[in-house]
Amino acid sequence: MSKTDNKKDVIIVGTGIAGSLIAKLLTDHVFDVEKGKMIHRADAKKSETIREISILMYEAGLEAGLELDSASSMTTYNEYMRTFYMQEAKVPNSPYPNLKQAPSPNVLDIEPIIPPFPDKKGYLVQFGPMPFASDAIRVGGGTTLHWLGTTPRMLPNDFRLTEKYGIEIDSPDSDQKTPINWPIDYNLLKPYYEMAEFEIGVSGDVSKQEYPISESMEQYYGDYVFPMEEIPQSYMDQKIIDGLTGTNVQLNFQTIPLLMVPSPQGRNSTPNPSYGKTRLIKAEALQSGYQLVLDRSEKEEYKALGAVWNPYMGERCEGNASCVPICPVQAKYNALKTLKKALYKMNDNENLQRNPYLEIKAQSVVYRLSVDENEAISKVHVRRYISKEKTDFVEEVIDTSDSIVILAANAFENPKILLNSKYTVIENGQKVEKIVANRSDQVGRNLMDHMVMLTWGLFPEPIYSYRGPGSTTNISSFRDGDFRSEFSAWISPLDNWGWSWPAFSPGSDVSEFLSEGLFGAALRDALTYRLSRQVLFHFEIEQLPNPNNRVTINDQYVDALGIPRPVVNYDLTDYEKRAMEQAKLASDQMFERLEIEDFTQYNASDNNTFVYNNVRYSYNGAGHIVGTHRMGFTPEDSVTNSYCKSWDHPNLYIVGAGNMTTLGTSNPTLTLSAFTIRSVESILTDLETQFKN
Amino acid sequence: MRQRLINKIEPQETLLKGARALASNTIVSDAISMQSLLTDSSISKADWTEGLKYHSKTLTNLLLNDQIEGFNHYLSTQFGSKISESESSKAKKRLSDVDYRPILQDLLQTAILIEHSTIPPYLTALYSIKDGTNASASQIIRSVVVEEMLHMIMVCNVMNAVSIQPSVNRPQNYPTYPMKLPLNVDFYVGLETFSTNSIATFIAIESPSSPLVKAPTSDHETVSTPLFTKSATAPENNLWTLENMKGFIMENVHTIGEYYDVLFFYIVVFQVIAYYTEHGTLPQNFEELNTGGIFTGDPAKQIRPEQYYGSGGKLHPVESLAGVIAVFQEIKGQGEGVDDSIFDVDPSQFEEGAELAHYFRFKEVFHEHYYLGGDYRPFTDENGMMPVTTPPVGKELPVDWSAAYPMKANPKLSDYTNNKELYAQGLEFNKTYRRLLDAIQSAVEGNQKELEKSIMYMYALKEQAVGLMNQPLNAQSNAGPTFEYTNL
Repeated sequence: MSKTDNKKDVIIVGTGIAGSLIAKLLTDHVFDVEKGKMIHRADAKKSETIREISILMYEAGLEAGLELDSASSMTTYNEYMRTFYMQEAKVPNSPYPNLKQAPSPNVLDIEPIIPPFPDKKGYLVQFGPMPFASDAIRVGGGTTLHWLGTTPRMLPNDFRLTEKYGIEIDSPDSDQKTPINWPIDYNLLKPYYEMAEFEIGVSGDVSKQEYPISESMEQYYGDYVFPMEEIPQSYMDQKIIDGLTGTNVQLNFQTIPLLMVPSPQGRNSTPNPSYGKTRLIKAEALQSGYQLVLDRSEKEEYKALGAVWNPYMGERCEGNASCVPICPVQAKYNALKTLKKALYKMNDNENLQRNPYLEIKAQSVVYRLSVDENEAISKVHVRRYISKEKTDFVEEVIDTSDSIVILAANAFENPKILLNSKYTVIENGQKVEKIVANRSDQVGRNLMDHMVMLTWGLFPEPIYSYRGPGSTTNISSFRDGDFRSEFSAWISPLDNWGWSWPAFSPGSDVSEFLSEGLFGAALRDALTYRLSRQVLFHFEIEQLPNPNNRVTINDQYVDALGIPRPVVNYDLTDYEKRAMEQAKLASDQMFERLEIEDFTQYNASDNNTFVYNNVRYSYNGAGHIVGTHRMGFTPEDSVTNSYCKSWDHPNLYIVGAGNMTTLGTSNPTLTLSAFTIRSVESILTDLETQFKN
Repeated sequence: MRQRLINKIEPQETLLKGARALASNTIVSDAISMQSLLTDSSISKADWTEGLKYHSKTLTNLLLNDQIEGFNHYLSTQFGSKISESESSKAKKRLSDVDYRPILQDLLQTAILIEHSTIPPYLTALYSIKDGTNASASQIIRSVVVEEMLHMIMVCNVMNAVSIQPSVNRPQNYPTYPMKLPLNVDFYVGLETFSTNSIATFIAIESPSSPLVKAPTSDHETVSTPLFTKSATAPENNLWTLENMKGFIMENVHTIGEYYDVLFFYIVVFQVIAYYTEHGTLPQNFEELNTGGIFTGDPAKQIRPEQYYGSGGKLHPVESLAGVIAVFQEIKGQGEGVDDSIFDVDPSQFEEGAELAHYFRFKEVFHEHYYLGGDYRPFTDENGMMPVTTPPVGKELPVDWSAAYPMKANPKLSDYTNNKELYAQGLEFNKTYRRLLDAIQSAVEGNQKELEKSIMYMYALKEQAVGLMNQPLNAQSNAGPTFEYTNL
């Protein structure tokens, strides 16, 4: 066992978007010893009275994925591309290293569960009864490497489902009901959404956003534009919009007018001249504590941020149409862009200089935290494996009693580490065993995902699918409404990539026509006919928090480094099932109106399938792994406060999508970025105290 | 990324001292003053040439290095002396006869041709690399070729700024391979597959200046010809003709960087003349020179950054001399850049995020190593200088020279006449290339939207080029794109 002596002010576990955002914002600030305040680097004069914040980041993925100088990062990224081209199944994880020392959940490992026997095929140990259907990747930059990049904000009512719709959920292991309001509301989060949209680089048209909310769009967005102009909607979108504009859908309860809106997204397009100059996310000192603001004093125009290895590559989306799993030119945002800004700072030559105060240790799997008598996190335990091939590892411990520890390892890994961190305290003369950050017994609970029901068919005329980013338009009509007291809200993205997701098109179409004996011109004609008409609708259904949908650990199931694997219990309730029934109603009506020939098929052999009111529905995961360390109002109802700080420990933050109290109908990355950025205010405050002592 | 001018200039003080010396007439100099160069009708061709060498270097160095104050000082020393009434009216008459249009049209079109002539060779080498191999080398060649395209568009912006219609798509705008660059050079540029030979040629294209053009230093004092007393016997004539100005280039200019230096000087000269004929006096500072004069172009014809992206560097619209400076800085900074046989080993050249000049980028491929992270102390002299020829010794850059199509060098469509399908394929490629140039032409005529189409054509070009390179032509070599003019 080796000990690292050189103390760090902050330890961040994970280099995904949450960890990278925090690293970037912290490295942008320094401590002014004279004033006793944190100030932005841009306001710091060269002087000896400045103290830098030293940071150590751990990443379970390979070393190569974190070498972000131009030459290395291009080599590694090209290797991802090559792997992607070679893989037969182009699933989200396919381009990235599949590591036995740091395994990742993979959609290829999902299979139906036959209780009581768990599915142990992949990294997750799934007890079900329904398999959890989403994946993630443990690699430098995290799962943003294969996110789609859609960035809607949450709606105001998403933050107050109990207040607004009276929804309450079970408390863990009791019949008591608990409210599920967030400790923060939309208005509070709004400025942080703007910061997240700046950092990610969101393209979109504010004036075209339309949601079924009681607030006006003026109230919702304010006087605001996205940094970049809208990514053009696809030809298919236009055709569908032409056919549906001004019409309604009749659900069991309500008639709902259809709103087709262009999706804001984290991929580069033309900078919006109205956005003007670039910005700085800057901490302003308050009486006590800090407030982050989007400072507008910069002189440079806002510019699209291209590839990590070449700023002139990926300045615009080129429509490569492989956003998931990999954007070849990095026009789509990934967290490596933010991480590079933490790792390199502008020097006097306006070039980049390696920031010596940030150290990243790759191939390092954090698996346990220790706690001292003051309930502070005193140690972080790490297993660092030596090579990609071997499972040999070095056991490392870092002393963190004077550091702030930030878990940013995703909603599977964060609870896994916490649940593996047991400690004993003496209370009233009795030895009591505790789990880190788990006073509320909420760690690992309320695992959520969007259930993506797909419906697909052939449009009556060619709409030329398979072009452009995955989705450029969504139907926002069902994102909020009174029906939420009865069943889930959902968002319906239109999918530009034909039937590739549900039916593995176009490969499956080729096989089908070949087996019918077609060849030559007839085969070409059949393919042209079908592939140019394929449409696919998503119905991404909100899942409510449920304490029994949870991640636990079990000594019986460990990985190659001897670290526990996430054990998952997961199921749906009638609230979600009913929404799927209603969504299918909506789909049927829209298909009929557009004269789409329905090819949707749900089979008993599908991985995620159920029968509701005698009708079968199947769905997929959305990759939105959310909710296992919820934020809340009190130490009793939640794992963290609204700043993602653990209620139980003075120096522990737990950040990421796991903090989300509820899921809403938005893709979670933008929202998690917003409240992660906000958490930096609290971290800076803690650091100020730390530096003054 | 910020543009960088690698050009190492003389320290400002030396220049100023030199300029002051010229003005106060206490020490003799080797060059006549800028004022004489313009207004004195009696100077000889030889003096004119020497003056041109000196002032093009001095003035260009000042302005392209943003030394506006130094430039103002230089102007005041150059234009300080009084011109007699009779001299003045004679000079005015003579200078107002100088028509900058045909001269700049010729020289700027040549600049476009220089940029254009590099694009097909770079693209050919890029396309010849087999898919999935040589990722780093491909990336480097790509990064250079997109910058050459940017340069071409920016030269068009300069032309539009001075009300000259740029042309990119006519037969005479097409480079014919193999060819020499229209400078004083002794190597040929051609369409060749990716190989050490083709990369060596690219290094030559982008290579730094020969020692022939050197910034003036302390050797002022060794020359004893007094100022303003140059060969009084010269016949009275106008030396500012296309023939003379071009002749100067063909004799004295060996690199693309030098070409732009001289071209820039000519533009400034014409702007000075325009000011002089309009105001009757010579401009005293940069502000007076910056706008008006020859900058009569329609701003609506400028291609602007929002219309052009993803292609190396910033696109500068041009509405004044300041715009020309920005354009030339970008072009020079990205290209060979270096202006002396040695350059200042400013470590920032090799920092992460810095933009390496094309010359060095190609050397990285050739020597299969990056500059970044290398130790150059063994190559460095006591003044911290190293030869530009120093090979990169940083991280390894793996190159598989064999992973390229064995394309016939400088293929012509006529080579394909025996193979109908191949001929049709070759023709189709040339049509796509023509459409690409047509789109650019239309864009620089004011239909900027047309530029969007070029993206589509660039994708098609690659596919069609690779299609050609896949076809065996004979036992040794394959076909390739010919980049020849064709009717649509």
